[in-house]
Amino acid sequence: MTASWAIGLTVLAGLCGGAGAVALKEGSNRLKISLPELAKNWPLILGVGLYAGSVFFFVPALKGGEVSVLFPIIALSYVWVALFSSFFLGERMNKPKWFGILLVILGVSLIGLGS
Amino acid sequence: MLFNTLVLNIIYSVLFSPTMKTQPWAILLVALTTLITASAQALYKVGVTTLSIDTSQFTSIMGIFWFCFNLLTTPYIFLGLLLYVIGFIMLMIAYKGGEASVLYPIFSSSYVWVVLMGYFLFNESLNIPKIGGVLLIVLGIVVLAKGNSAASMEVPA
Repeated sequence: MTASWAIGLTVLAGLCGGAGAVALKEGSNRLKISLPELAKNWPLILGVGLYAGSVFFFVPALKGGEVSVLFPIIALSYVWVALFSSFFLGERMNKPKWFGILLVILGVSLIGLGS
Repeated sequence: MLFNTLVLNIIYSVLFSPTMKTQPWAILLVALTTLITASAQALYKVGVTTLSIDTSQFTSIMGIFWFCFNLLTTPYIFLGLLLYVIGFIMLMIAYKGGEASVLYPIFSSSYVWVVLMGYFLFNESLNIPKIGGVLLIVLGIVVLAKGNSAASMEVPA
C-alpha cells in the first residue's frame, strides 16, 4: 500500500520539477559565462533549487511507495511545465503538443504498472 | 561536416539565443542528457537499496541533516549525483535551443533508457506494460516534436 506521505512528496516533487524546468529555461535565456553574471541569474538559481528539491522529494517517496502509483503522479510534471511555460514564458500550446504530453504520461504510467 | 554544422548551431544558439522554435539538435541533446540521467538513476537504484531509512530521522532537524548526509555520501548515490550535474550542464545548453514545454517532456525518454538498462544490465524482465510504455513515450515525443513545429508556424493572434 502506498503511504499518503509518499504520494504527497511525489505531488510536491512533480510541482517542483515543473516549476524548476520553466525557471531553468528562463535561466538559460539569461545565461552568461561569467561568475558574477551567474550569481545574478536568479531564475537559474531558483531552477537549480527546485530541480534539486524535486529529486530530494522523489527519492524517499520511491522508497515508501509503489511506482505504479507514483510514476503517473510525477508524470503530471509535464502538464505543470506546459501550464507554467504558457503563463510565465509565453510558450504557445496547441493540440498536438497536449496530445504528445498525454501520450508521454500514459507511457510513463504504463512503465510504472509494469515495474 | 555534420558535426561542424551541429557545433556551429549550438554555439550560435548559446551566444545569441534568439527566440526560436525548438531546434532538432536541442531535442537530440536532451535525449542524450536523459541517457546520462538514466545512468545516474541506475546508480541511485543501486545506492538506495543499500540505504536504510529510519522515519524517526525526519522528526528533528539533525535527523534530516544526517539523512541527507548519508544519502549524499553513499558511493553509488554520489556518482549518480555527479552524473546529474553533468546532465544538468548539457540541459542548460539544450534549453537555449528551444521551448521548455517541448524539451522537458523529452526528458521522459529517461524512462525508456531505465527500462532498457534494467533489462540489459540488471536482468529485469520486460513485460507488456513496459514495452507499451516505451512505445507510447517514443510516440508522444514524436507527436510533441511535430506539434512544436506546427505551433511555431501559427500566426500570433
